[in-house]
Amino acid sequence: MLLLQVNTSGANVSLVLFFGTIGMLALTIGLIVFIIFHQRKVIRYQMTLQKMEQEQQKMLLNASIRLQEEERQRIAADLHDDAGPLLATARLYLNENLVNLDKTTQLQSIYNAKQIIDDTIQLIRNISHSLMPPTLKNFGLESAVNDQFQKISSSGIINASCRFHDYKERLQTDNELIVFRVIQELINNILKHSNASFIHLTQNTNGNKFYIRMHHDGKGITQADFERMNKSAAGLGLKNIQSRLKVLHGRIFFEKDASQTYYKVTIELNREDNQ
Amino acid sequence: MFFLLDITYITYIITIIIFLIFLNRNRNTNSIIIFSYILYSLTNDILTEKHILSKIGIDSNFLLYVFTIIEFLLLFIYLFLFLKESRIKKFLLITAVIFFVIAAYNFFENNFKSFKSVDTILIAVSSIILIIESIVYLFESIQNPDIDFIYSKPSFWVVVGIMIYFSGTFFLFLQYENLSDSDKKSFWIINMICFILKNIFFSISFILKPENQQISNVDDYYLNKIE
Repeated sequence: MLLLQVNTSGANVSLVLFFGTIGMLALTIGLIVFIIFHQRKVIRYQMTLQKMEQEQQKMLLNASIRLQEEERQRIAADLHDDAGPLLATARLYLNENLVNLDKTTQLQSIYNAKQIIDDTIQLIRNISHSLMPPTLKNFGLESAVNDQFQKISSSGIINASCRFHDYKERLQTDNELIVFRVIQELINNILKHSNASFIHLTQNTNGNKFYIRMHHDGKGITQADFERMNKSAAGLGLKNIQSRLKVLHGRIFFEKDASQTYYKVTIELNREDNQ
Repeated sequence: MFFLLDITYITYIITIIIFLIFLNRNRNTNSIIIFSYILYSLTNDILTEKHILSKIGIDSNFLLYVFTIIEFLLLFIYLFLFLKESRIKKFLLITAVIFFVIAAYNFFENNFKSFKSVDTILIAVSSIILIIESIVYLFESIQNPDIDFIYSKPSFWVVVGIMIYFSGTFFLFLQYENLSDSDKKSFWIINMICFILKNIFFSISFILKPENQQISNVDDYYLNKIE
């Protein structure tokens, strides 16, 4: 600054002043334009992110609504196709002419009607159990998962085992049901798509964190696949898992074991939020 | 030359009228600082132009000297109120102290009377500090994860005005003493043009809604700006 003052004289002064002013103005305007365009770019990026997040939320919501509708349709079909005809048949056995029939036929009809009513009771119980497993309600997540794994294992198709290491304090009943549904969905996926020969589930805690980890030796997915499927229209079950875990503020990780032999799925929950 | 001088006065009046029209949205410290600055600037220009106070022994150059200090003080406070980074604020405070030390030194050096019409060093220091402060403001603004566009804020237009004026006139004031009388007159156009631009930008700032009355919610943003 001072150098400029000392060294310049005469015509040079005008030249320095002219180009200096032009240069300063160019720099200032350039800086302002840069700031405006940079900020516009950042805002557009934020808006895109926001929009993507909203779209994903919408997809998750749609997935959960569709699943709910499918569940309702299944229950309606079970009631209409199975319980309805059974009760109609029982009614036939107990028609008004029953009093006019001989005693043996009457007894036979009553016995048949009783059998059908028993079957209907069993059917309704099954439907009710599929909505809320009684083991889960009465004995908790550990027993319900054990029960589920025993049933799978006893089918002989796949070797299923589970071990809960630290489950003295149960999660809230509603949250247990959500975790159980997530486990069911994961098992369902493994059975349907992976061709695995075994599934192993372990439960652990670490400080405030609650973990459930499943291993299997079939064909699985990685976190990248999970995120990709979550953003696409496919993968209804995975979206359902995501939306259920969102309720619990939980997270899920899909990864391939370091040995490249197994696939791992880890569910992570905060104990304080869910107990 | 006189034509530009007239335009300068017209822009002053327009800025004041705009402030009064949008008085409701300008009832805040920041707008009042800028409005005070414009009023003071207009008064000072009239007083120095017409040599009104010369009759009572107050030199126009002294008025210009005081104007440089008051102008720096008002604009420095205006920008300082927007800054967040404490380390930068401390640094700027130190630079402001340096400015006032130079101002005081010049004051005593000139024996309270023989002031130059343009105090090169003082104006240059003032310009550098205000330009730095403006740049800091702009960089803090783009780092803020706010959804509002920077040019929708009144403070942005004030900063643009300050930057354009002080960068445009920086070399003029720096070289002013080395210029011949004819060059002084011809180059004074730069000052007038920058002054007019500054007043226009300040007028824009008075038209815009203040930051605290703007949409900050993302959902509102979508409703108001996208649809």
